[in-house]
Amino acid sequence: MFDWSPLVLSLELAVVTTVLLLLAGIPLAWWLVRRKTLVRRVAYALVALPLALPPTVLGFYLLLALGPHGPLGALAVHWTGASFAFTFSGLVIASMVYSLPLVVQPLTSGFERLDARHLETAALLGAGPWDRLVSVVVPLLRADLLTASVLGFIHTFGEFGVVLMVGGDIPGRTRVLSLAIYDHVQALEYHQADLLSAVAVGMSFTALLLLYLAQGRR
Amino acid sequence: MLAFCVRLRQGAFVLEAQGDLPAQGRSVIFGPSGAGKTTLLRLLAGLNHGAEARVFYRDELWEDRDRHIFIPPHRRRVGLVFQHPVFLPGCTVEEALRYAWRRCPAAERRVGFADTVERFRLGPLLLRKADTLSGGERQRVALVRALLASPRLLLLDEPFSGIDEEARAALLHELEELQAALVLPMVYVTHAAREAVLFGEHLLLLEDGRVRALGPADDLMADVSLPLARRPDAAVAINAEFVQHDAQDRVSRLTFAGGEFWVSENLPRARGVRRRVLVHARDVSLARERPQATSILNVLPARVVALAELPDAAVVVSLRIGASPLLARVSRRSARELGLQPGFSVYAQIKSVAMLSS
Repeated sequence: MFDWSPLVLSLELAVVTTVLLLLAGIPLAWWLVRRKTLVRRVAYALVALPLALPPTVLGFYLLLALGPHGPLGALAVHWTGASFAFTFSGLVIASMVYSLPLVVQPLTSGFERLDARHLETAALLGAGPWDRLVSVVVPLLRADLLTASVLGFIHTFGEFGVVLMVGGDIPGRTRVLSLAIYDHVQALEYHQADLLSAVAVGMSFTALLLLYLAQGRR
Repeated sequence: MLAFCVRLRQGAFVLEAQGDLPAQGRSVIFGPSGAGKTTLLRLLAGLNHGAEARVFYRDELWEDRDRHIFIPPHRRRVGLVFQHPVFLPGCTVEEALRYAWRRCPAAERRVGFADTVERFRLGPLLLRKADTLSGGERQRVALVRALLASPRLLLLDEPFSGIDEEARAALLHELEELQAALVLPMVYVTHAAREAVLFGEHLLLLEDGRVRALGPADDLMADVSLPLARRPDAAVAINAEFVQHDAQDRVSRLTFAGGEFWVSENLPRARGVRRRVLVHARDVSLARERPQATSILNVLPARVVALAELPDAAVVVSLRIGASPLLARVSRRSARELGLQPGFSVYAQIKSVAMLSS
């Protein structure tokens, strides 16, 4: 029986990461575009940093941060008795950092194009901040939200270096698709590697195709 | 009372204004482009958060930077009709109106949905996409949208500037009737002197970010030291009431505080119908004695209040007919030959009275 668990794990990781990133990314992007102060320019650079770093560098520092002696890991130890290193939660946190720029950048460009008068009009009609987010921002930024979701999803789905460093390639727990393919190749199991790779190509292509089809419709 | 005190810098422009407008009736903020009218209006609405400002409305403190008080716009219950209103892409007129309607708690509603739609003749437009409307339709929809949220104060930022003169006068008149019917205080921003005079009961003149003058329109529009009265197209608005119509000569008789006059009109109107009529300074000439044979229908005794020289060898004369102000624009030579002085009694000949279409 072929082991599909790496695919399931990758999908889970990509979905959870994308949802959490959207929730965090919308307020972050909103804050980033509101005023162009020096602090925010620095924040822009920090948000983009994961794109520039080799994934192993990013993964290395994330491992330190999430491990028992790192700030986040120590908190986790304090609450749950175990650090984030080599856990699914650790993978989610690491993936959020890794995919952050791909989610936030479409959103910031969306917010920059957003005509402030739409928000002002809604506010004057009595819509509070959450109401405006749901009734104005989401409909106006639908295309950008879709782009952010698809990019966040496929970027997380395909990551290798970071998940290897932080997750440790533990079968059934942190061995995601990309790691399983590598392991199959190392073991000269080309057929298995081929199967998983073909699925990865198919899924990523389908996601991108849906994205461009949706954009073409507008 | 709507009181404000603000200091706000936007690049090279500084708005430094303080004053108060009555929290009732129709107020107009008038000034040339770039005077800071829109900025002031946005501040009143709460859209300029972070300005050095204090704003009171009736007994509520809306904003006080020093005390870190700021009531956000969605809690001020203020309507604002922008010069270029926006609608969410793809939404219909009805959706845009329902959006506003739903956001006012039922217990606080002061207008009905159907009545308001009817009043502004939006019924046929309800299913149209808001982004396919013409300029005039957009403004009407934006006005009704603002009304449906049942505001306690309505701010209008040159709402009819993209509309032709005739339709604009009609809308202005509708707005006036609406104001009276709903007892909804309005603050109207415009750079058009005609609209300021026609609509405003209270005027705030803004120049270079400062308040040049503030007070009842009757005083300000006929004040020869202020720019409104010195314009070539200066005019005063007078509240008048229909008395009778002469169908044969096609003229109507109107009364106003100070007397009565005749205006050319094709159709009779009901007795008691009120209108604001506009009398241009250039249509008023002055005589020392009552002219005997003249083609001018309206000759009224008036008293000179003040006069001022204008650059083009003209003189603007501020007059009172009873309680009503009137302006006359005469040549410098005529003023000298008549020996016009404040306190002097004259006869004002009104060549034409502009009526607002109904």
